[in-house]
Amino acid sequence: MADSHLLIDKHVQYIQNLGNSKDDLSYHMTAHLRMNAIYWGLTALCIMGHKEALDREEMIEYVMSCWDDEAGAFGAHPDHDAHILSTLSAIQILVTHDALDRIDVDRVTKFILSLQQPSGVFAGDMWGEIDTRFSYIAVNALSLLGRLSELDVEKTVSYIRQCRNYDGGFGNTAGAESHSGQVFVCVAALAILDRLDEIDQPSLCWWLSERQLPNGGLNGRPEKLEDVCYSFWVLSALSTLGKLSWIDSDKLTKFILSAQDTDRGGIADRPGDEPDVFHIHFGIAGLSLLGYPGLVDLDPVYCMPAPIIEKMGLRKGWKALPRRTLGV
Amino acid sequence: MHGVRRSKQTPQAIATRKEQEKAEIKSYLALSDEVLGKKKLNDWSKDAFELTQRVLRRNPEFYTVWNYRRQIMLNGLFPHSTPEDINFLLSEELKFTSLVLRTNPKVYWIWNHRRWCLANIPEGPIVDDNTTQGWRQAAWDGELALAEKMLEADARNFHAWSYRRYILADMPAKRPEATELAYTKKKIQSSMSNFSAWHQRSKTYTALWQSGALAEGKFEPEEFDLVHSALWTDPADQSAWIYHRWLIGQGKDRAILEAEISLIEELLQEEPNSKWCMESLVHYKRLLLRNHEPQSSELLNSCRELLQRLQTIDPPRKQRYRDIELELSA
Amino acid sequence: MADDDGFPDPNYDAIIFGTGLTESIVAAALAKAGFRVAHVDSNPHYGSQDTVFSVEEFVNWLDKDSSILPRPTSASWHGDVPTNHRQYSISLSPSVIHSVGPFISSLVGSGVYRYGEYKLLGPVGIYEGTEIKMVPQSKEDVFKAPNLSLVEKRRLMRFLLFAAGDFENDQQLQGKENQLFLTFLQETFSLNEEIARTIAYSLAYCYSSDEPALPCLNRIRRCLRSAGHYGSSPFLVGSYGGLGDIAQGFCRIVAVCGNTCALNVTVTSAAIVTDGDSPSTRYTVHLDKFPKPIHSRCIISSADLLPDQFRDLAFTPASNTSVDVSNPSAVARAVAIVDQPLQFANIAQSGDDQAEPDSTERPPVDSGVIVFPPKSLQSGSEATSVHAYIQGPGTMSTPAGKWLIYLAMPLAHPPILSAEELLTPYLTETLSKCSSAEISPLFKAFYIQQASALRVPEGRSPSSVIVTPSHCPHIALSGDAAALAAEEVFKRAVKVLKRPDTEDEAPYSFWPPREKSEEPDEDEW
Repeated sequence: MADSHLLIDKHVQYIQNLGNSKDDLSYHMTAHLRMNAIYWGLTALCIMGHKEALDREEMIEYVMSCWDDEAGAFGAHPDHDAHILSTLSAIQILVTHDALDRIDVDRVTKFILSLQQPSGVFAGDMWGEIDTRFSYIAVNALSLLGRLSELDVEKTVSYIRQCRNYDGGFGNTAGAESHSGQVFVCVAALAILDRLDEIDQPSLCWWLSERQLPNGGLNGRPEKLEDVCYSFWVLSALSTLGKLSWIDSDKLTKFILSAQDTDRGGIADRPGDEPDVFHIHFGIAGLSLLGYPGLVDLDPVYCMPAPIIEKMGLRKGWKALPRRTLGV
Repeated sequence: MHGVRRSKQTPQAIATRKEQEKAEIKSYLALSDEVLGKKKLNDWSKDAFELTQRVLRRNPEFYTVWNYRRQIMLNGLFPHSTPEDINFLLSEELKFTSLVLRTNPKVYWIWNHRRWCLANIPEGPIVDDNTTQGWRQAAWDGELALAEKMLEADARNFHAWSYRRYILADMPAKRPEATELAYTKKKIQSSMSNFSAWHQRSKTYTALWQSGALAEGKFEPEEFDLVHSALWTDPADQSAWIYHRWLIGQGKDRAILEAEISLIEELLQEEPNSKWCMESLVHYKRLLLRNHEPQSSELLNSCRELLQRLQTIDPPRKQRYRDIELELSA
Repeated sequence: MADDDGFPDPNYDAIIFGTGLTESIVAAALAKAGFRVAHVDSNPHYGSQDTVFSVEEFVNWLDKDSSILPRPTSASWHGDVPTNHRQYSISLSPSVIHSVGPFISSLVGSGVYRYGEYKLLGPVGIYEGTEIKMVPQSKEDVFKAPNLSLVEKRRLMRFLLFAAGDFENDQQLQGKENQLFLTFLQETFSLNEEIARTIAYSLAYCYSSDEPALPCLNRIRRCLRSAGHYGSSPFLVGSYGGLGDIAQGFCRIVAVCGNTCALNVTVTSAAIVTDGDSPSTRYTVHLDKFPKPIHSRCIISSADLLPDQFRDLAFTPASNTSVDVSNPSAVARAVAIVDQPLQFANIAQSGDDQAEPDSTERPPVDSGVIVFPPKSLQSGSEATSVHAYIQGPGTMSTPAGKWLIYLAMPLAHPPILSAEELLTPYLTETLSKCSSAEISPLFKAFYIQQASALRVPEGRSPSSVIVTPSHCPHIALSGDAAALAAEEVFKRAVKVLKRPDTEDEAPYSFWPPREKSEEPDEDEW
């Protein structure tokens, strides 16, 4: 059932319950996503103003238990191999909890830098899968670790440039079709590197604004269906480029709210579907950028609570919609 | 969870499901513990190899197990194998992952594993004392066929498109780029909304120009006809409009620009509320203004009028049209 | 429940006469709903008027065999019966199947689809101006069509979009529901006459030029909603002769559910046993192969096989839903066998995505339809269209290297000419347009199929003697018409048979509910 309000209490409860689902088969089948899931849940809680809903110490201990000492980075779950995806999530969790002192920054930095390929793109791990997602992760993580100065910026940017398409968007590798998710990572990476001049802004913002469908939802590519997760990816790029007004924010807000599960809490990819923590995170992140009342600001570049990023002195020049007050 | 419908479950139904899942969870966790335990011990035996297969059949997202599987091959199996054996092992591996891929067409780890397999196929067989590329060519041909099969099932699967591009770029014996024009045309003709195919077509032309196989900026003679057909068949479909914008590019060729503008104006007459007609006319007329007729107040006024209409018929993007209007006045 | 002599209990809920498609679907649905039925046919084979014959059985039927009623008239045939005549499945009811519609729902709902194989229909062409032209059946076909101007593409698409939607509430149709369809197309959608004819005859499959707009639009919508379901063509082709083979599949369900099925049985006597008030009417039937009479509370029969004793009670349920076509009183039919591949010169196979769009070499047509609109052929009909339907080895209805061609011409009045005279020009033209070589058929046959003889007076009050509606001979609608008719008959039978204490009809749904699986879409990332 849809609702016109954000059911914060239910979503908080939903996220709290995730840790208690060990009698659920899907809980175990998704162990390879656990570190990301904790980051998604924690960030959503922070944005809803309920950071305390999950135990800080327990979470930090879990993160540390995923350290892969051979590789010098984090896996998704204890005994899982290190990967750049789980490593960024681990760093984000620790930064959010002001516990970065727990990790060996030198080793993590070394791990990340070792993944840069001659073309400038980053691999996800030693096995060599490449993707502009991994470039963003590297840039984001190094920035959070205060080690961006060790990155070959020109080389990194040159690969992202190769992934730019004539529609202004970016693909996951050179030659690939533009995709909202890749647009988010490439724009955010360029924002962190202060290289937004690499973007064909009129074309990209046109392409992004055309992601909105008549039902208010956003899709990831032309002639595809809408999905709540694109709410964040498209909005992040639009707010980084100062063009959030180019879509209908009321309709999008309604669409995200309509994808809530009003019984058990949670947000799904679209109305009527099964919710999950991934879509709660991106749905809440989207609502925060849209100025939804009562939420904490989200930094669209780092996809973390804005106050934390500001305190670290890392804030870029993005612009979200002004926060509305309740009842308006 | 994408596209899984929510079902209302009674507490009773949930309890029953959980009860049923108990045994499954137990066996899965035992399997998972066993495989991670062997991995910790650097067990690179054939048994361990088979165990990874059992785990991956149940959970193809378990990336650590894919990694372990490759470690077993590299450290346990390859060192004692002839090139023939390695070629056989890797082709069996590709067969296994095809099976898993069919039910999990969007799992990054599987696509990635295939790339690794391909990269490790040895040169051979040796014919008359010469090392041939026969094995590698056969594997690449098979992978191209697989990618195309996946695109028949889902013509927008970007994993399959990316993989296909990788295969084509890396083939031991390269195919002429022009065959890609025929392939993208076939995909477009079987679904004109398939923007992935239009996109690939634009990349194919770019590659043809870069290689010198086609003069820079030249297309097949019917290229514009193909796009026009699509625009007139469904003026609400974004795919062809975006491709059309690529064809026009910076609008340096005044004759083409003017011809296209007048054709779109005809379409607008037939379809007076077409947002994409109006939006594209604004874009092309602005190119005309910028490149060829900076003083034309007629063009300027026509753009303004179109932008006014767009604000009424396409309210979600109203602000964009206003911003462009402001830019025109500046 | 067997008697001492090994024969089953002679008390049934329903006795069903005839194994044509409609009767077989009703029988299967009743059996699946848990009723006891006796399903019998006086013919030695399943399918009644929808049956499938080998070539030899077919010529026997044309010559003398009177098993299947109504008898063919104006029959003639030429050529040799091939030695492997059993490898041909000649259908008395050649028809394609909508990918979405009541018939496919019955196939899926009953599980009968598992017994056969289905292929996407190949190209559909329309014969105009001595050429076979492509019929655009989808957006992609319009997009690809080489012979349409840009404006024509746009107007045709605008019409197709209208026809695929809820046109009942569309202003463009208000007050024009009964306008001649061809006029409606030209006036409301500014389509030229050629495109209007293509739409009317090869999308709505009109028999003639005087059909009103609304039913034609309903038929086109069915077609458009079927396109893209299993592939680009809206139609499927059933294997081994199609509908007749499928009818047999429904009969199999009846038997699988533990009911009595018997062929080649004749009614020796029949009686109505009224026992007080009419709701408890019983019927008793003596069959020559059965040692004892059988009894039931309900009789269901095709018009041709209804025992005379039950005629006065017989009625046909009125239908709220229909396939929107009126049945002709007779159909002139032809069947030909050729040993040369057939090609549609200007048409890429729409069911075949593998065909290179630019290649000049066309693959042979394994299945396809050619529509000859009225007045398209000089020596042909002025008033009605003729449908040619080709089936090749891929449909499993012919051996390798052989093709079947069916022709059908609806007849409003008894014709002066013979079936052979009526259809020979169409057969000649089909062969000459589908091959560069000169083809002469190995075998050809012509006949006139009459509509069922028995006409139940309209408005007769409902009883428990239910006669199935007459067979629909339409090339695209035969299966859907049978399924809709079967559902009406089923509902009436349930009304008669359900226990008086059950108000709720829900347990007796036409097919037991199946679980629907959702197809996931969209990118994961």
